[in-house]
Amino acid sequence: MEINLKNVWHSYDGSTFVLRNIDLLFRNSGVYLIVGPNGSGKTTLLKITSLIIKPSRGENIINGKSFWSLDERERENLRSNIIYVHDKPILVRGNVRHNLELGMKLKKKRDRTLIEYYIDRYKLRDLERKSANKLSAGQAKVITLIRALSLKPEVLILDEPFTFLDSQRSEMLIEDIEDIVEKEKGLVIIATHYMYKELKEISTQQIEIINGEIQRTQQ
Amino acid sequence: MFNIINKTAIFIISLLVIAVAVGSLGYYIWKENQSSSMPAKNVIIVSTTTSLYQIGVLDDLFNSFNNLTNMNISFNVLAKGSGEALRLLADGSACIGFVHAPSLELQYMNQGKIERLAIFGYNEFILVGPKSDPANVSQAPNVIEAFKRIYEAGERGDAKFVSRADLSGTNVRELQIWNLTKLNPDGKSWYLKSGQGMSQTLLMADNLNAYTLTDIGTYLKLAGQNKFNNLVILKKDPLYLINVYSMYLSKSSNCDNPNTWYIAYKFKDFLMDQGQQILETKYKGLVDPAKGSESMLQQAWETLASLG
Amino acid sequence: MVESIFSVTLRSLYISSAASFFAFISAVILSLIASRAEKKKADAILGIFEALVGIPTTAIGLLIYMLLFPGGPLGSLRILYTPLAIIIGEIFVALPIAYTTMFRHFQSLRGTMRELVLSLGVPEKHTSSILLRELSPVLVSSYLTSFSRAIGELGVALIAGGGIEGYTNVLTTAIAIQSSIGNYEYAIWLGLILIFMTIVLTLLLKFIGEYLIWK
Ligand SMILES: Nc1ncnc2c1ncn2[C@@H]1O[C@H](COP(=O)(O)OP(=O)(O)OP(=O)(O)O)[C@@H](O)[C@H]1O
Ligand SMILES: [Mg+2]
Repeated sequence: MEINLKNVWHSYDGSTFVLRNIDLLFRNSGVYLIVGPNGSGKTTLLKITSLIIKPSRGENIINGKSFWSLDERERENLRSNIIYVHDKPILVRGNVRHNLELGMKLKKKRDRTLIEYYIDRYKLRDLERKSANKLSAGQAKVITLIRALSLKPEVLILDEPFTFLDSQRSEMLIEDIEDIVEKEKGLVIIATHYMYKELKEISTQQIEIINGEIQRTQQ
Repeated sequence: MFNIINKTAIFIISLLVIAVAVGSLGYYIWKENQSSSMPAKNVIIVSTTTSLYQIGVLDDLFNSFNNLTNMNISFNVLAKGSGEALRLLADGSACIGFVHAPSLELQYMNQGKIERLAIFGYNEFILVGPKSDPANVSQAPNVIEAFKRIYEAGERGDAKFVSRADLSGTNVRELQIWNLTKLNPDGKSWYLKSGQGMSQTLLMADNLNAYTLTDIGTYLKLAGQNKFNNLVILKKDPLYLINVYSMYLSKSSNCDNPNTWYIAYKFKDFLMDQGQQILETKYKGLVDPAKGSESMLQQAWETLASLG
Repeated sequence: MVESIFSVTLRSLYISSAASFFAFISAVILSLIASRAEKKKADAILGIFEALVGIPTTAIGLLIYMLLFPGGPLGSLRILYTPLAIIIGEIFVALPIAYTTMFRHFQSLRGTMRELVLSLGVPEKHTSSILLRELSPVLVSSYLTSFSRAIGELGVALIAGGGIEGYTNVLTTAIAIQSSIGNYEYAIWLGLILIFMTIVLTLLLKFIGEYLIWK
């Protein structure tokens, strides 16, 4: 998939723009890193890219089609390939297992092998039956990441994925990201304050955003 | 969508099941009651004063009527004050009514909303109060004089009076007597308005050492159950305290069908014939039969109605 | 002469569970719709319902009477003094309380649940089912509150139902009528049953809810 933001502006309250004049092209297959200080607009940019927020101005062109002028069916089709993971994990009532399967249940997918694989890989077997509101911050974060990974999306957008993660799981996550890009030819976009060496090595492009504007991009 | 909310679905279904189970059980019992006690095709809504309802005389009359005529009419009884009972008749919300407030009855009759079928019974109102009788009403020559004494004692701070203030037959009579005294107790600190039924008002008067006007039936029933500590009969008055019960038919279009009329007139015939015997044998002193006192009662009714 | 406490109790349960059930369902549907509306509009609607919570049930009873009596606009339906009249009236009694106890939660959680659904690449229409599941404890307590309000109200049952023995007599009307004729002992029993039943039902539903969802 190819995502192209064209002249995107965004304002939450209708007066102050937290994103200004954004032009970006995200191409298959690659890892894009977005960096910038707190409040600079990274999360907003990611949500616009993952089709959750409609930008106040400008276009979001997916595979050559301007997303927000498509009809409902086509939008749903395109959207189903893009998965976003919130910086603050959103979990629902129920146990860990239910939360892990949430995406699959909603998409009516039956094959749970990937979930089993990731549960073992990230050593979460013991947590399966635990209530979602009794998890530690890192546990909650990992669960939302696995929930996204196991859906095998063409585009994976991660907001601060390494916050709360221990170093071992961070490394695993970087490996998994690498796999998506190398093996599946997917697209991964990450906003992060943690610049791991391994991450830098696999990144296609780094984008720095300050005060809602793109400061510089670096291949 | 359903696999995601299966537990919610189960929960909501269990809610539903409870609602439905309870509902159908209730419905079953209700039907059961309907079919066992009154397998009725004909339902007629009756409004009545609480006093008749409490004495139990109406239920008795309805049952005898059904037994005698094999009609199986279901009389759905609304027990209200006379004012509300008459209003329901005027609206056509009820078709037959049993009331005892001549002045209000006259008003609705003049408006053409109700029709009187019969004066079927009477009893008397009595003035009750604390044994000590601080206003000395038992020595008064008549009830008007007694009310004047209560007023004076009230002003002195020696006596209280509880009024039902609900436009019931009893309350209407009380107001008529106050009118005749040319004194207005309304707003006085010793004049208490209960806004409740006769029994509650009596119990209130007993607890407050106050006077009140009551129908004799309710008083005797509660006295028989030893509910009073201090409340005794202090004054009777054959002229102003006679209590006349009449049966009415609503003239609303809702009741204007041959079936309702047939039942109403059939019941009236029963009430004035076998019904009178039932009153005579079982309810003497509570509701006396009108038979034999027709012209006296008609006269009393007219006097009372004209008191306004 | 006096109707058995058992059948009065069952009739009460049947009438008020029906009324609170319909009120609850309508409140849920209304909440789902209103939580998608603009905040200002939604707040205005909530304000109206909050004001309606305080309306005396006797006023609602009179309103239903004026609608249903033979000369009223719906008089031809002939449902005055039937259980159905009480159910209709009690729906209006229970709806505002059901709505006000649940709506804020819908409003505050819908945004998050919508983002969750969209972030998983799922059509937005799935938000409602996730939202309902998430709010289930709120819904249970909201249902129970409206049930208690319906079973404990007197105005509608007395004015629109009439308290007819064997037909529309419910716990509250029986208490009112029996105490108005001085039968305090019977009335007290009814009152105790009323309290006992609301408590048992509340615990029962809470338990079911806990068992299915909370764990
Ligand atoms: N829902 C919202 N309503 C109003 N303003 C918002 C909202 N979300 C974010 N903002 C504002 O938009 C600006 C950009 O926020 P954003 O979350 O995109 O920053 P960020 O770069 O992700 O910051 P951080 O590094 O802290 O995650 C901030 O000034 C923030 O206050
Ligand atoms: Mg952020």
